[in-house]
Amino acid sequence: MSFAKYIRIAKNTLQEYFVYRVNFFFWRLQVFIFFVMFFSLWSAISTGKSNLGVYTIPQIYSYFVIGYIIKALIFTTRTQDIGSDIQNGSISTLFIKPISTLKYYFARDIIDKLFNTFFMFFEFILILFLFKPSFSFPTRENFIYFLLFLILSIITFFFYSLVISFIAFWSDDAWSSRFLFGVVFVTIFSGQYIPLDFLPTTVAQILDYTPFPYMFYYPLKIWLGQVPSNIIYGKLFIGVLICLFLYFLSQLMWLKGKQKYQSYGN
Amino acid sequence: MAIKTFFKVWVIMAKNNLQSRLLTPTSSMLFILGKLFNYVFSVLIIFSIFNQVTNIKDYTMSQAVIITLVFSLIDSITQFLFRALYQFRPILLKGDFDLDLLKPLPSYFRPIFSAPDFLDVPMIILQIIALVFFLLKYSLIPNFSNLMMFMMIMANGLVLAFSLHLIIAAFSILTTEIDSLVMIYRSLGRAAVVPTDIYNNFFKIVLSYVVPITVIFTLPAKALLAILTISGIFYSFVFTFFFLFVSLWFWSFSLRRYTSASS
Repeated sequence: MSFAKYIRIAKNTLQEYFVYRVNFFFWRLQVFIFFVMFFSLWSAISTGKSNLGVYTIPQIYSYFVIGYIIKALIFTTRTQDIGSDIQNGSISTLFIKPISTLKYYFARDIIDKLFNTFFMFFEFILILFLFKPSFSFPTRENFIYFLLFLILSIITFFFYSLVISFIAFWSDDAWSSRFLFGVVFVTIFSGQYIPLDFLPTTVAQILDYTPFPYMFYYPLKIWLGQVPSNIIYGKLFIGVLICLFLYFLSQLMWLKGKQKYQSYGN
Repeated sequence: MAIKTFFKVWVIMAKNNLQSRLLTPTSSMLFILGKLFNYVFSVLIIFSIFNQVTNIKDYTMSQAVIITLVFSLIDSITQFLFRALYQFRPILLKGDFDLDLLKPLPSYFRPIFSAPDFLDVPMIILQIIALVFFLLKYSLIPNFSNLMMFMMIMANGLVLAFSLHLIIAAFSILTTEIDSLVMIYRSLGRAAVVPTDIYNNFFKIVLSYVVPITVIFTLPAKALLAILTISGIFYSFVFTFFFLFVSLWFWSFSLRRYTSASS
């Protein structure tokens, strides 16, 4: 019975997308343009070359094309709504309803990912048709590790995004912290612009101590078979630790934030 | 005389906007930090790419770095000047735009010019310093005529950027959708972080003729590097004139269809 409530929330979220169809279309279009830009850039860089750094050209193409697919699964989220809901007080209405507030946002998150992934599937076909990229495929073993890492990345990003949203309990503007930690840091440091091993070694080493490479870069490196199996376990272990840390941090911030939260007006 | 009045109103609105930014210093600091990280990493990415290759198409590393720096500078200037567009949707939805239409100002003044973003000012200063530093470092200091050409082509690019913002504002009057359209413009604009002529044919055509990002970002950089051709100058001015004409026509077309969204 309680599960049915969240199915209803997910359905309502889906209906919202159909109300703002043009907005969703333009959103997917800009995501697609962003991909075309990076693919074209790396295509221009790799012209006439057999490899770039440790990557063969099919591997570089795979990095960005597979990256495009997993972006729709990992980084699409509705948890950014929490920040504005805290700021404008509309989260108060959730507090008095017989539902778990976090499960409410999780249900919305799931449908957001599914909806984006559905459209991404057609965009992926368009990419194959337009660019005909040469691919690098993983071994069966690496594919299983890739899937494991992907699930871990989705969960890690969910809790990371919750943490950013909960900053709104203590700050005067929800968007500024989302902009820095949720947009700039995630896009730059997770390897969406450039594979992190292209960066200076010191920078790449520092980033290894942050959650960002575990959200995007490592799943792709595993797909490409560039992480030896003995190191994969270590990376998975660190990834799980980071995920657990973000989970406990988000729970702590949620509890403390609710105690601090005040709602004004009507 | 009219321009003087507009400037006076713009200064008042700019002051108000600055005051509201100063009321939230922490969030302003986070925004500036975000812009700073974006900027530093854009340049770092170019260096990292050139660690792997010696040139991209016909561009050397020094040219690519200058093009990236000019891109970032012009991007910050357009953000500073036209930031109000990002706040236009709520004004439209509430129906507050009616009040602006009654004022003795151009109808596009509020959606485009009313909220210059002062958080871009520290970045603009930093970007000018970095640009001068790298021009000196690579011995690419332009002579006076190239510098004048750069200023002229950049001003021309800003007029084109205004036209594109106005087209988005006009489109938003018809559809009330704006955020994702701005994001599309931003995504396309980001393509100019490297010279746009390195892209393949289709994407190059889009960036040159459909949404001429090339005119806004790449041509000023080429002028600074003294590699801009006469046809490039001609193309820059013709396209700006064309887009300015189209944007003003589309804006008045949209205004005629504007119905107050509120009570």
